[in-house]
Amino acid sequence: MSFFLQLVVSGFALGMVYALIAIGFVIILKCSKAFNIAQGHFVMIGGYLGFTFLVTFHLPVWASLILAVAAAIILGLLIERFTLRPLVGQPVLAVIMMTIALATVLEGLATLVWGGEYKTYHGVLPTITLKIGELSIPPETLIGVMVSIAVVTILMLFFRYTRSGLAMMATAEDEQVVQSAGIKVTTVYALSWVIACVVGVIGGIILGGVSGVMIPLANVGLKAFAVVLLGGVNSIGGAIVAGIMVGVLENIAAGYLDPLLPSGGGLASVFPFIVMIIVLIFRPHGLFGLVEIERI
Amino acid sequence: MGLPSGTFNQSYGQDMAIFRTRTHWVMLLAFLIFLFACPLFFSDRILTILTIIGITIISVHGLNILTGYCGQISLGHAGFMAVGAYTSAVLTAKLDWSFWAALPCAALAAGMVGLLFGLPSLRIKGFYLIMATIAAHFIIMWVILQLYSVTGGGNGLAVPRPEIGGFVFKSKGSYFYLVLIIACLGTFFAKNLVRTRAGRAFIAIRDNDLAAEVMGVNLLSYKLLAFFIGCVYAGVAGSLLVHYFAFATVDQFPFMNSVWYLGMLIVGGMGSTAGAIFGAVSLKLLDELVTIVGPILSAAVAPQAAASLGLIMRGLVIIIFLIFEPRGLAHRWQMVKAYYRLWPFSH
Amino acid sequence: MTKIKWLFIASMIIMLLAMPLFAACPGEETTPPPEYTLYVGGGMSLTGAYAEDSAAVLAAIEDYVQYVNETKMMAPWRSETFPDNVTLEVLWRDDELNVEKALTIYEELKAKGMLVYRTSGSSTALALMDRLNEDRMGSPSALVSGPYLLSPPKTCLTIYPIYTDDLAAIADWFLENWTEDRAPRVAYLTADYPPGKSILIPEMDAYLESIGYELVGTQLVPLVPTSPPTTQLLWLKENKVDLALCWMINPGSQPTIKEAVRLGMGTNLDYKITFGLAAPSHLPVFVPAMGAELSEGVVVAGSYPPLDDLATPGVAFCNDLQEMYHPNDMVTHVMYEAGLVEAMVQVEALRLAMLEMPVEDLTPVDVLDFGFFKITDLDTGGLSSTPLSYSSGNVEGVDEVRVDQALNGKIVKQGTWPLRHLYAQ
Repeated sequence: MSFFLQLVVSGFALGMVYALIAIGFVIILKCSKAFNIAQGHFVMIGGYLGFTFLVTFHLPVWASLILAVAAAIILGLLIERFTLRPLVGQPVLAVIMMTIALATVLEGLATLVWGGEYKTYHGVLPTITLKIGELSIPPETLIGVMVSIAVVTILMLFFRYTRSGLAMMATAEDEQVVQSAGIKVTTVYALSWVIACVVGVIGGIILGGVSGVMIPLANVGLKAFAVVLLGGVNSIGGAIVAGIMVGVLENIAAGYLDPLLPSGGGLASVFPFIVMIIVLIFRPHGLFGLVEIERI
Repeated sequence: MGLPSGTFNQSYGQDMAIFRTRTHWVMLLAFLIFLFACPLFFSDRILTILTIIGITIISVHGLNILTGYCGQISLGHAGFMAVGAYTSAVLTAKLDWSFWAALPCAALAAGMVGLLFGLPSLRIKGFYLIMATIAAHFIIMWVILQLYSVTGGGNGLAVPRPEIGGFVFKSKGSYFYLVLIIACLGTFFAKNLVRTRAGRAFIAIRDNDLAAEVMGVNLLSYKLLAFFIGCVYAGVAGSLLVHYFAFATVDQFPFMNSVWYLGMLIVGGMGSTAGAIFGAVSLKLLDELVTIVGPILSAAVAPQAAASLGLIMRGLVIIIFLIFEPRGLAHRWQMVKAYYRLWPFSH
Repeated sequence: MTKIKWLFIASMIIMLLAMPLFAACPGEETTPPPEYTLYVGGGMSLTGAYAEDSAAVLAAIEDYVQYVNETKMMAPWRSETFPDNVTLEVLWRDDELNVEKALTIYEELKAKGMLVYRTSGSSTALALMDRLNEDRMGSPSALVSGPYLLSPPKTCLTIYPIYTDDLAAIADWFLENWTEDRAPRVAYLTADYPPGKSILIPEMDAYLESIGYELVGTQLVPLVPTSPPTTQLLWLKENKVDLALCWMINPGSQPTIKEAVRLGMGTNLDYKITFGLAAPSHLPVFVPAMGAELSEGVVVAGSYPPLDDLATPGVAFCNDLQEMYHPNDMVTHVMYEAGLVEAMVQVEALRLAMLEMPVEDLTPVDVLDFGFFKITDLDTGGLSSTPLSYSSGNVEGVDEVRVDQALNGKIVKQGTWPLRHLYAQ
């Protein structure tokens, strides 16, 4: 039983990481209908920024966070202005290819700046260790839960009570109507990229503290898409619930099914993709997403 | 547009002809002769590059039919290639089949797997379909690595080279001919496919699937047909690739390859047979350029400069094409042709 | 629009200009200079998971080649000298671990006249293995050491023991220190990546069972985990595993062991388990990054001595080379040593071949037959666990496996164990 519970708890930790990445993705999608394949790369950049500020410059955690967020804001603005804005009105494929190309360029730039080395900052971030009976709860779960809740609360308040937040919600609904109401859509787009960048970078710093940073860290983005699909592509709350679901299920599947499979199984690495296919076949709009109705 | 002055189409056949005038035929023949003469004056290295480009072209043709014509975006193309590759590898290496029997089976197997993962395409499109095909790639790779006793898992599988009546396609030149012939056949088939009823249905689906359905195009069967044909191409390309290496490993089909195949379509021009060729050639040559410049840059700047160069260059090329020339090189090629045909009166 | 048009015309022109570059390359080397130049090096993987290893290897090869060119010595502790009229040059290309690129790069460098060729990693080695064998091109590589190289042995030579032999040595070592009455329980904990899975062969299982282990099963960890592999570690605990045999690179082993310590799993922790890692994990990288507490008890087989172990002549040589050529930019990665050994093997093969044949007539086959396969007891100054010897059919250079353990933040050599030659038949 404790094996099962421990699996659930560590799945929860994993799910929070997925959720953080998924949130950034959903925000961009909601506001500008762009599918951002590069979200995992924001996470990677975040990890490297964390390394730079915490280890290279020996800054305290709060200062590193502020600087990393500032860098993320600049990155988000640059990306939106120079790559995505020229593509407004282009087909889906163009936008997706653009984010893929962006991912590649970010990967190249990261290699150029930080090199291909594996960077770690074990034990620099504050850790909270909690033990309930036999169960030990991973520190990143607690930090992840807290950061995610904070981010989601801030976003919810932002969307509900601020002018720009309302503008973003409205743009998600119908950008042409919004434009005629005098809202500058480009600003809204820029804002959504900035928020996604910031969320990704924060996730990256947490993740980097847990498992270190390296270019392949960006692959976490691919797995997080399963979460996005399961939660529904336009639901922030759905991303969190689905993140936890996928994380826990992945762990349970790996814990109980792997030993039954030949050559080690390795179900954990492929599980999110199986979830993806199942969701796409049976419920393409996800658990909490809106069903899109198309007309000619 | 596109015809010399004084040439008029007087029948439907003439209107639809790809090679309308004698000059066209002469140029085609000259080009083919040039291609077939390549092994005479190129080194092994250039032939290797050309062979790999040829295999890539076959694969990109498949993706072009699926994505460029039918509008079903796939990021799992490398995975479908792996299916064909491993089918052919296992049949020839483990069951001692001849390559010529294994190749159609590889194509068929890849097509079947393509059908399977194409099934959700009726309900989903755009981003969702991309996700389904990404998932397809990783699931296929996982299955291949799982089947250790059949595929050799992480240790790979040694594959015999194709042979015909005692002649083994071992030298660079002979394999180049094999790939060239299949690539020409593939191009011929692709070019003609899009002029058939199926091809027109694909284009209708791409431009507006709901409208196409209203007009009586059966969405499911045509989407699945596009998946099947696209993946058949992938299977053939995969099979050719592993037989060229004489070895099959999963690393021959990395996920990023699928991305670059789409990139080749963007650079070359979506929905154009010539575009697939232009794209494959130009991105592969860019790769070679990066490889050569890398060490020089590394000596001048820093070792990691060489490493990042390839990534940044490829990414930038795609970004530039998306922003400045979304219709790709094929379109630019048409413009250049039109310009010279009308010169000096450019209007 | 006109601007864009010009931009495109310009880019087309650049592309066209680039074309002759390709055509021109193979022709360049037709007239050899009066002084002969021989090439060492080959494919590198400066992009991807092996990037940091590759960069260190490349630095070592470049330094060693410069050393040989300047001093004409093979190593400070050796009396043989390199011929005066021959200059060495490093040729390399980044193949990004992409097999298609690796193939064209191989063809290019072969056309330039390379007589030895290194492969950049497991995937490229697997893909090129048959090509290299057909061309009889000797290919030592510090980054390739999987059991596939031995089934059957071809022309790819290993610098350190193959992964399965590493793990067998750890199993031998563990059994010697086993005090309980029951049979020890062993499981694989390996990277979900082709080289990681290459250790899962029936021969390995059979060996472990033959020496008295109880085999429990296998757990896979991502090559670079994006979250701690708690599930896999808990599975080991749940199944009462005493020894976990792992193939992992450092980015994989560090988060894994860190999580194990958090779960109270380790040689001196609540749950007694030993983690035995094969060579691509290196304690000289692992221990400083993790610290004494987190690294306690971790065992690595087939690796190299730490870079501060200056009493070993080979390590001192590494240090001197770097002090000499780039004192401000010292490579601190232990794969520098591996790169040095690899460079020594390549240059030694060329030297031996030149004793048999005039330099202008050398072909890859000669370098293989008179060079690589004539290397016997090449003294690496203690960098490899034993002196290296190769012959046709014996591509595993060392005869014994060095086993190290991290104890109190120090790397303690446990001794060497004989090779078991475990590979898929």
